[in-house]
Amino acid sequence: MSKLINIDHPSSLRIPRQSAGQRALKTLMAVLPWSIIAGLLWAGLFIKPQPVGGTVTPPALERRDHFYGLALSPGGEVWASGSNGKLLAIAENGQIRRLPTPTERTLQDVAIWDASHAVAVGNDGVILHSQDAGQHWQAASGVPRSEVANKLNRVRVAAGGLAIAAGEMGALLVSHDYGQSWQRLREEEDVAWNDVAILDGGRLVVVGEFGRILLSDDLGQHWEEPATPVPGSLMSVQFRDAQNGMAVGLEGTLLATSDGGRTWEGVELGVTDHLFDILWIAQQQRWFATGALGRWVAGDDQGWTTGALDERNRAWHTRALAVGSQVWLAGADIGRWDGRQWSELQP
Amino acid sequence: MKSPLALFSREQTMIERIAEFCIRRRAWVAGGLLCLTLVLGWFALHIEVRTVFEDMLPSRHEYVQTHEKFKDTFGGSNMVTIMFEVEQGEIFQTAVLDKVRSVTLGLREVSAVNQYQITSLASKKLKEVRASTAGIESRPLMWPDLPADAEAMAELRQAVLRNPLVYGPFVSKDLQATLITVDFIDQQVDYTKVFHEIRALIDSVDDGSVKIRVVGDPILYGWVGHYLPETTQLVFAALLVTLVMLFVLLRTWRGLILPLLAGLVSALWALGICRLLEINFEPLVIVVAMLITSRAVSHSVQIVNRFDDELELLPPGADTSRIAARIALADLFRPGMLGVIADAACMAVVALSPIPMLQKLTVLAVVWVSTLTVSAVILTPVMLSFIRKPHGTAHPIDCLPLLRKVLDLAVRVSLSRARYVVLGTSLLVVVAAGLYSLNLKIGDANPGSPILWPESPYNRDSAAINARFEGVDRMFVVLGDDSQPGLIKGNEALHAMNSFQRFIEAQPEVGGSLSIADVLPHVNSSLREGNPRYLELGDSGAINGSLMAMLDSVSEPGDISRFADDQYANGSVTLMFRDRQGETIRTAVARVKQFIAEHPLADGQWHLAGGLIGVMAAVNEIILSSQIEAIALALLVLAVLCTLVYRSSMAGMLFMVPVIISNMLTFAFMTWMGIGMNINTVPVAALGIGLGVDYAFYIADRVKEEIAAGRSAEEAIRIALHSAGMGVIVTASVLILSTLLWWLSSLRFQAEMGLLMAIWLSVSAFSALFIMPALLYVFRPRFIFGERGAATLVSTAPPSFQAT
Repeated sequence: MSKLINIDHPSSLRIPRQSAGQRALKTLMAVLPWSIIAGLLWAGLFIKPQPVGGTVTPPALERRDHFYGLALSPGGEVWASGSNGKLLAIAENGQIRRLPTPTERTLQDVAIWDASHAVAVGNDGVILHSQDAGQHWQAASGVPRSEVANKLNRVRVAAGGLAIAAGEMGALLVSHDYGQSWQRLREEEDVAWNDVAILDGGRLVVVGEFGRILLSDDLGQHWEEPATPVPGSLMSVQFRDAQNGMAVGLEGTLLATSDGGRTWEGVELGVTDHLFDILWIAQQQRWFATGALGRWVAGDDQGWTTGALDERNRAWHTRALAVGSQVWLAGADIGRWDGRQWSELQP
Repeated sequence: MKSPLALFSREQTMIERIAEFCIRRRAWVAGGLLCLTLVLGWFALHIEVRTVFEDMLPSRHEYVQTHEKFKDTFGGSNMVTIMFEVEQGEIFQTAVLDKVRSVTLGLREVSAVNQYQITSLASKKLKEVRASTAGIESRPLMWPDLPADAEAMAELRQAVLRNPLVYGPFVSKDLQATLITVDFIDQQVDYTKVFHEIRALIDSVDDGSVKIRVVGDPILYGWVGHYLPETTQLVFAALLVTLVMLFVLLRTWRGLILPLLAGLVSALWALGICRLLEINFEPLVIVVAMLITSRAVSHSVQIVNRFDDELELLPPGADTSRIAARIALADLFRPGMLGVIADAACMAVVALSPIPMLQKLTVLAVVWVSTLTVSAVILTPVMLSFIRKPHGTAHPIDCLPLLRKVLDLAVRVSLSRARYVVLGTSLLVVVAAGLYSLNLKIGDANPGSPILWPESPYNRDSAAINARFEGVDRMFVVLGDDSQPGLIKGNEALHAMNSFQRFIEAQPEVGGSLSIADVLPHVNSSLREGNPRYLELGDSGAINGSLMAMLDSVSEPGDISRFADDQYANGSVTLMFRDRQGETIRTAVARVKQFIAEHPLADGQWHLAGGLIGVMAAVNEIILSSQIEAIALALLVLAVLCTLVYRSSMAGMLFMVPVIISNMLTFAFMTWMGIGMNINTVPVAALGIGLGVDYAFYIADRVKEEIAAGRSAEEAIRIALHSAGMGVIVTASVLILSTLLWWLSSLRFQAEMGLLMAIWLSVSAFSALFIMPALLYVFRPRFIFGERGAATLVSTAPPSFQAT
């Protein structure tokens, strides 16, 4: 009991002697718990954290991409054009950068004149040109349009800023100023032109739907149309010199000419897959064609061979480009073919 | 105004009267409780043990509403994926494809299967669309029959290779694996049944030549059910360990039987009441049940312990048991009740969550914890009063001196300068743990299911399928407007879907996506002689409309339904996820929202988000947004309760300390172990808040009692630590050991929760024995020590006298 008395006694003595500081402390100690309780109540009722997601930078090469066109820049970069207005520059070390383009239309083809000039064509008549090695791209204005359809499938370039684009509704457009302004070479008609070969001396060979072929000796001033050798669409044409050329098309069509495109002869391969592009590889002195389901065809006057890029990769490719000893292919995927092995660029 | 002291004494009298009544009418009390236990026990035996999927869905959440509206056509959250994998060669072998076909056909017989949502090479749904001279046609790839000869097999292989909707999504890129996906009708699905039926179906074709892997939520929860017998064994093993240790430490039969009785009675009551409320018992909740039972044991042991202490003070006689029991009941009534009610109240906060499973679990837990008020606080002393020969021990092994050494250390630390070191260090540790636990993940923290171990068959299957395919877990996002039939055929909607898919696929964890906008380009290209330059949506609405009409003309009913509804008013974009980590889902949802904000639509709206990932996103968002709420309100409840009971706001603050310590350390541990906050861990965490404080109540209350009886602060702390502290150290060591047994569980979730509970118990025991006494001694709160000025004097004066 003595301790209990002790408790009461000194406390009663102390109270009158409290200083202002002690009183403040006492008030603080009285207020603090309640403010903490109030704070908890407030936090419990009003603090609702919101989800914050991580940031994602889209890779230059995406899974959904399709590529249709390829070109080799003088700097050794491979340029690939494709869906969503995408134009990629793939360096020799495998680094990929995206070139800025002012369109979201699919770019069906790209071509390069020299270290500074380049052109790309695509869906809905879009034509882009660059004067600074692809740093900046401008849409060409006043491109002739059809009321019906305007997809441009292919563009070919030649020295002096000449470019010819081929496309739907009979579109054959020419430019003489590195792609800035464009004019029609022929009237509109219901045929899609798929490719045009520009030969020395102003000779043009155009191929397209329904196996149609057009020839011109004066850069499109006058045209002649030889007899159609096959009924199916021809997709690509290429000459290795002024006289000798090849054309490929749907269902394994492979045609050869040795008179500058006037007469054509079929090469029977037993291939039924579509072929989309043909290429003369000067270094190897032979032709190379690519198509649907990973199909490739290669050969020369001596004979032809065919195969699939990879037993387990049946992607289609619409463009081939020889770089050194390898062939770049663009399509549902993009990669290199060295004659034995297919190496796909991974997204 | 009445002084607090007067109020206390009145309360004390009331408690005394309750204690007196319970012991006097002990036969009635015990008989009544027995009857009640028998009745409720009968109901408890009939409780349903199963996982109800719909309980996991917060039904008012925007995503869940989208999910409910479209799940029957666009894919529910119970999708099961079966992969057939060959190690050598390709799947294009008759033996392999025959297995795929048998399982595909057999799945129709599995209960609750959605017949229209069985997809595989052998189903009618995977088709090839081809244009021919006669027009456009579509035919199933491998339905109804297997390829008859090598030529037909080669043709099938080619057909698969040229079909990007099959090659990739259903047949792996290396042609070594193929998938069957099957969906269930959510309302009818019974996980255990589905699990066994699918396993039986697979066993019937499995001859070892092909690896067959199965994943999906029905399978996952099927595995949980599969381990139920093992879980039961672990429960019994833990119980056995608890009892053996109690017997060894307390050396009396009462120390073994009464805690067991308390645990059993409250379990029966709780389960019985839940059966009456028609709440089912979820197998994963067993952890919570164990946690609560451990509370029952703790409280009961405290009372038995106090009874033993009182016995030593009483002379032997006929009435010793009754007197000791009455004192134990009266003295421990307040801390015991306070502990139980604080537990229940902190847990009750979880009921604010809109997730039915958590609400039901909260009811179960609150009911269960509340039964402890009777089973432990009242029943234990009543039973103690029946004991005839209270003195003596059941066996000669005495471990208590060892434990007393720990308690001596606690006393020394609390009363010496070391107390400042303890308090300072604790503060540092708590702050550090608090900062570290800011990294605590919401949702699953690792790939695979956190319920099972990474090397479990299920998680290995899941990893294998995710490595070969685009991802097994799906989310669908809907674009549409009910009032605009045909909206999906429109140009804007199709292009919006296409660019949405492109945007969302940039996230690496999104393995792929699928919508009607992926199908039309193939129709378009087919119409153009297979020219890939037309492998795209049309530029104009007219072209797309005619492509859609073309597709319609070759489709059978149900073919389009996974992409769009019958009126084409709503279309889905299905995203495939390679994992279901919280971060993955959060990023995906944030990006979906970003896309919607940046690409406004003239017609129609985007609706998030269905499928398993959509539902998980909703659950995770709710857990995230209520995380602060749950902790803050639980602390608030605790503070208010303590303030009321001790009539001092300081008491509220004081008892928050051990809770904050144990929570911060547990959260830090969860962060370190990579355990995420998800629907399964949230209730355990909530229960832990109440758990952290029980021991502190007993210690502080005993100090208060001793001070009231006129002892000095040092003496009071020493007595409290040696009496109530003994109860703490006994129960803590017993329970820590038995919860650690859970580490052996085949269910990772249970193992981790066992570990978590062990840590919780250790930290709260440590803080009750070392931190709380030091805190009391340093701060001298008035509600324990009486008036402030006096307390300081009392504590400083006597040592100085002794020194001289």
